[in-house]
Amino acid sequence: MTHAPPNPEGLRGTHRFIRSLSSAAAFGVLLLIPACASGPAHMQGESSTIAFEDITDTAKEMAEKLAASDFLKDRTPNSPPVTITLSKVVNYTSDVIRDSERWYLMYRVLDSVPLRELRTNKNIKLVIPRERLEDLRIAAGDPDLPPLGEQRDPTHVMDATFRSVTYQAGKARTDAYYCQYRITNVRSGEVAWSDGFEFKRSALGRLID
Amino acid sequence: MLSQASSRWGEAGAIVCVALAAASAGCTNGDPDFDIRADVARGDYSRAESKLRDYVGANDKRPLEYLLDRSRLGIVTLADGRPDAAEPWLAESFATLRRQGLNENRQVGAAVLGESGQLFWKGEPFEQALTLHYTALCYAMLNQWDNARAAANASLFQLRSYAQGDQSLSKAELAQRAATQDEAWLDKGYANVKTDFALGYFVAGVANFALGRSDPDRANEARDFFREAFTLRPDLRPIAEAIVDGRANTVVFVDAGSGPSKQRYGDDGVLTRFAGGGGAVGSLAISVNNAPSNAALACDVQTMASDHRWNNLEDVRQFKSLLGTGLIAGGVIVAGTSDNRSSEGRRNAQLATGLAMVLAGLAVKATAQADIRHCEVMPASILVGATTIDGSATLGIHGPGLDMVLPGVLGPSAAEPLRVVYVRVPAQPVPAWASSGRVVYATDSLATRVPGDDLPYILGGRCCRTPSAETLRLYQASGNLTNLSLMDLQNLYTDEGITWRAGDEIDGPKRHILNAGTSLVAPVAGSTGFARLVGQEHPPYQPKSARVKELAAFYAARATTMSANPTNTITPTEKKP
Repeated sequence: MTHAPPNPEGLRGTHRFIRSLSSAAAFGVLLLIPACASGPAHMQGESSTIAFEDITDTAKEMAEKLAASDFLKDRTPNSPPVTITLSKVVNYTSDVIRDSERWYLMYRVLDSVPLRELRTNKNIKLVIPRERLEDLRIAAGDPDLPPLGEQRDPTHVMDATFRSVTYQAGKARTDAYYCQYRITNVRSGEVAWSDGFEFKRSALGRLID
Repeated sequence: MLSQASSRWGEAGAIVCVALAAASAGCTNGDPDFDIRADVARGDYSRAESKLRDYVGANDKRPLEYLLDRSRLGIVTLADGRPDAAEPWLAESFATLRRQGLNENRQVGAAVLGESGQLFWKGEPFEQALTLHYTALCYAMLNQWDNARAAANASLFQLRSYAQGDQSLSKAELAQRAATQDEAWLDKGYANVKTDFALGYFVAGVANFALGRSDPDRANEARDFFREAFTLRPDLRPIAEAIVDGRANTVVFVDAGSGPSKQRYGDDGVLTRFAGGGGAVGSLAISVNNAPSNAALACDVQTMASDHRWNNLEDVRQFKSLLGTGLIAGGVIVAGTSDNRSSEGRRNAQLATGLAMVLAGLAVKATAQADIRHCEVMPASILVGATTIDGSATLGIHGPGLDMVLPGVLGPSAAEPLRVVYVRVPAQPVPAWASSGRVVYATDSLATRVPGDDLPYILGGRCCRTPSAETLRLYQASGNLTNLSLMDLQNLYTDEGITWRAGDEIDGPKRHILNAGTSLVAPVAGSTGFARLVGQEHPPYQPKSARVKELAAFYAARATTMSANPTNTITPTEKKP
């Protein structure tokens, strides 16, 4: 059996072809990779929904307003006793506000004033919201316990309502939010304190894309 | 000469084969998941949920499917009767759908590299509206009517219409028309029109009506929304009137059939259409305790999906297909005509150039295929009904060859303005568990006694209630677990790794123990998930801890003794674990 001598020119040509093929294949692979890669990990775009900082800013602002309000400022240890309970934020905006955020918005405002300060210097007690009694009952898991919250007997309720108005033109959207807090005497219906906070959120970009 | 020319074309052909192989090895992220669709059709939402939870867990590897995975998971979990567990996913879906410009600056890449690999999946407008509907439904089931209102309102976004006046235009017709128009037509030739999403108006009406108990403005808003709904779908009028007039305290939503799936068609598969769905559209009836109740079709998903106003546009894909075709043809010609008189180096360079063009063309063509990612778990149709349920009732869903019976459907409590019940009908023939109306296991979701519910399921009984003092008393009244305290009982579950409160499920909801999972949290009574869970026999529990194994063996032995001699009332007493 004889072997034909290798053709150096042919070999060089084959090598060049393989190199060319490799380069071209690499180019093709480069083209394919971005298509198969899962893309940028972060989500782009803009939103005019209520952001977390809006929640914290609102709570902070309202806490300051409540602390400086006549309702608290004028009270002394000898003022008639007040028992405040909370009601969850009512959401009349165009956004979903999750339960945890709603309770945060209420608790954060009242928590701004130390409980001891409220009790000893202002004669104000805080009691658990009715909606939270069921959670406590489940957590206790013992029906032999006396009914929870039987002696809450709140005199006042603090509630809040979030509203929004939407402006839209082309790809631009702005939502103007207004949050109103109130403390109401549940017996007389008199509004003991009320104040509000507003902010805007804007977004630009296609809605259907 | 001829053979050398043939050889050039042969090499070019080989190049095409290589390129085809490379291009066909495309990504699979965009492929619909037919397993999930099959699970949903069977009514096994729990299984579909498990798989979708894995997808969500892998979202760092599939970020473009962030919304797709969450919306599917939320919808399936809701169908399983777990609105509390569905809420986080649907809330995230809502927040994502509220983002604008999610694909800003990605369109150019998508035109070259394919949408499914480049574009964030936001769904067709009809999928967006339906996802927002399920978000509203979820919040309504959770008695969060204000959030339900926000989500329902969001589903009523404006649509883009290319039709003139009252003329209707299918997506296929739109595609044909676009081909004869200049490129600017698709961007400028439409008018923003009011939505025709009757279901969205109806749900917004329901949510506002529920809020209207304490706010007259919302009651007025409810009437406006209901009017819009029954103007679009007159059959909804008696249902809306029953709610507004106070003749109904429970609103029933019934999903039936499998929604259409997104398919490619046309040259190179650059166009898409929704087809292949079906099942029980518009032919279902509802009964409550065997008495017929009002029901009407509120949404026909197939019709919605084929309407051009509820779809995104295909112009870029058509453009890409043409580009791809040109590149491939050009590449093969360049490679094939590298003539033999050229030097070897020049010839190879020409071949390489041709190859690069072919590869580029094939890559573009491969990815130019239209994006068929879609929300596979949508139903074919959505019906609504309104009825009055005081306490609990048995709900029936009836249609040709279908009789679904759902026991334990609860009406509203005194504190609730309305109750929403959501049922998803499995594909026909419906499984026995869906039509039997049986309750084989006791859970917290339905306050009813079941034979064998005086012993926990993990010990061989049929009780899957939360380990509470009340439940323990029930066991002990039958002479079971008499030496155990509440803490002992809870420890048995803890030792098995079983949780019983939704909040204790650290990594999110787990499968129920009857589904071989580790949770006692049951779906809401009256849901399809509940019927599937408690309406059929499940395999006995397999204990893991020594304490539970010992107790389970004890009760198994006692049951054997008692069945061998039913008059023998003397049974061994269990040891305190």
